[in-house]
Amino acid sequence: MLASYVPILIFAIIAILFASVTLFMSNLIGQKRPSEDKLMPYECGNIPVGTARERFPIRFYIFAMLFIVFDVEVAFMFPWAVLFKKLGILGFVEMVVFVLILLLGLLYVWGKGALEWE
Amino acid sequence: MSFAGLVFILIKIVVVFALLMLTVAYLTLLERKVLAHMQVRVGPMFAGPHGILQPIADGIKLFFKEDIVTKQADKFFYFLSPALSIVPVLLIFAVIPFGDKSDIFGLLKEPIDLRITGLRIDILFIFAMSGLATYGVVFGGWSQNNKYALIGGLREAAQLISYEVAFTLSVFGVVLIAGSLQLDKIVAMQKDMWFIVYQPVGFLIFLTAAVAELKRTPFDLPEAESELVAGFHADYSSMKFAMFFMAEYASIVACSCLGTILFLGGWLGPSFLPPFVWYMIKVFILIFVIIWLRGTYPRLRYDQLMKFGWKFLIPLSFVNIFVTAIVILLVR
Amino acid sequence: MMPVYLAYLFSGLAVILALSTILQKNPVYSAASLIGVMIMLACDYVLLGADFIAAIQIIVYVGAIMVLFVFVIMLLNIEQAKREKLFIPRRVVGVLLGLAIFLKLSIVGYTAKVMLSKGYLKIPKGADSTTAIGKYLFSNYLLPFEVASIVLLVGLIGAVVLGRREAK
Repeated sequence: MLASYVPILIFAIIAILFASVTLFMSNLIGQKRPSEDKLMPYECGNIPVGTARERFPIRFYIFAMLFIVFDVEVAFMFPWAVLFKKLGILGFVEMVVFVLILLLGLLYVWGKGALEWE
Repeated sequence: MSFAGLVFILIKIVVVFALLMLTVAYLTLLERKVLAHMQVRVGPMFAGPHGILQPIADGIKLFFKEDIVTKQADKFFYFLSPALSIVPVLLIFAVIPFGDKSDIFGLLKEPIDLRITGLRIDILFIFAMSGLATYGVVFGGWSQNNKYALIGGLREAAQLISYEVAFTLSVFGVVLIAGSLQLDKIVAMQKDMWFIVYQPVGFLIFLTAAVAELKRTPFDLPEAESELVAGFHADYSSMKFAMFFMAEYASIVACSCLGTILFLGGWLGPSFLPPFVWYMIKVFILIFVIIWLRGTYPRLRYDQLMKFGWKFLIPLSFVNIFVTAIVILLVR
Repeated sequence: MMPVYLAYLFSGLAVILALSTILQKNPVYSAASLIGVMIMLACDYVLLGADFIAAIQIIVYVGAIMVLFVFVIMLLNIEQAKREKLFIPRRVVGVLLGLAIFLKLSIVGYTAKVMLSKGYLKIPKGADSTTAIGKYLFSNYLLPFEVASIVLLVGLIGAVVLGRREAK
């Protein structure tokens, strides 16, 4: 089993080397003629007002939370799907109950209007 | 592991890496040409006949461009993010098979697997890596200290995680039928019939979610050039920009390979062409469809995008999974 | 022998990154270090032969939970932490809680070892970790499995209640 992960480790090292060497070389070789305007963040050509370190609406957070719930659910579903033919009817019922409880949650979120992006 | 074994792995990695980079480079040309002809233009024409050398010219240009690091940027993450976005995508290709066991036209004594390695949890590994790819975008958008880039990065992250659920769920139909997470076994099970026949809805969900994950039109909101000046990589230049670009195109190849393996029978096909050629044909059909979408559809609004993902795609995926499960139970 | 050295490497990196998580002043750097810890732990799981757990570790912790952390840090624009004195009351509580969790995990680890050696949990020879987990999850441990969905449901409702109050 472990032997099949050796190539992945080697590939990971090569990929990281490739990325860092390319970025470093290009940074080294490329010409450098900095100027005040060039080093300013590009915001449609307007001179930036303040920094981007601002507070943003919370709605992104709700989707991240929803995602965690469904991601954990998916994690449980993988062994179920692999074993499904052996588990048979019982396995089917088990998963239906599991998913229905969570779909109830999705319906609740839906009804509350949290899925609206306003 | 023996020394010869290590050399063998290295050769495989180098071959896959070189082929991938070549494909990615020419994918940019293919896209520009296809889009150009769809819009009755000619596209790149000057670098070589019909612009055939354009990707090479682009590569050289980007490599020698000035690497601008804006004053307000967070230097560490500014350098880290391009690498963060490309490494996971490259790693996906460690488990993607490119053909059946083959002796490469009698060149080798023993047939070898046409893939770098095979795990028992191929599909999970791919989803794990695609989940990692979120960070390149989020940290990249944040590190520039640029409002447009930050909004682009956050938008993209929210889009990625929303469609990641549907993307993962779309594969369950195939896993249920095959009872395996190993890609080569899944292909072997399609000898009689491609899974697209059993899983038409699953395939459509897969394709839709994949296009959203790839942030391509009509889901290209994170990069909406008309409102976000290219979104999360607004301030990036030179090779750093190229690396985000390469990551994007490599993911297109990865998604097309995955779609081919899961739904289109992988390398299986009539024997008058070698398996690898069948595989490439199918992969390029999927790539072409993804480019075609860009030439055809307008961009969605962000609220439409989220609504479509959560209120339509995810419930539909669950229905698809349970209908598949019921059919499997009835057939047995 | 090789896996042992790799285990030291990954675990060592995990500890260094964990220290970096609590010592960094910028919360984004802390979150990034924590992501690194999760990835290193996944590597350790692979070395232990639990590749399914490793993949789930990355999919759930790195791919989902840490995204939420990073979102919150970026959305709320949490300022850099200021240097504080080394000994403040809430840190004592933190250390105690940390010790309690360490103790708890040690007990769990020990019990699992005993259960395995006495044959309560049998992992079939040649079975991969996905099948082994599925086999137990959908028979012996069915109740915890179904309860997990209720826990997730509570989390979902909690998120909406918290988020909606903000919107009004």
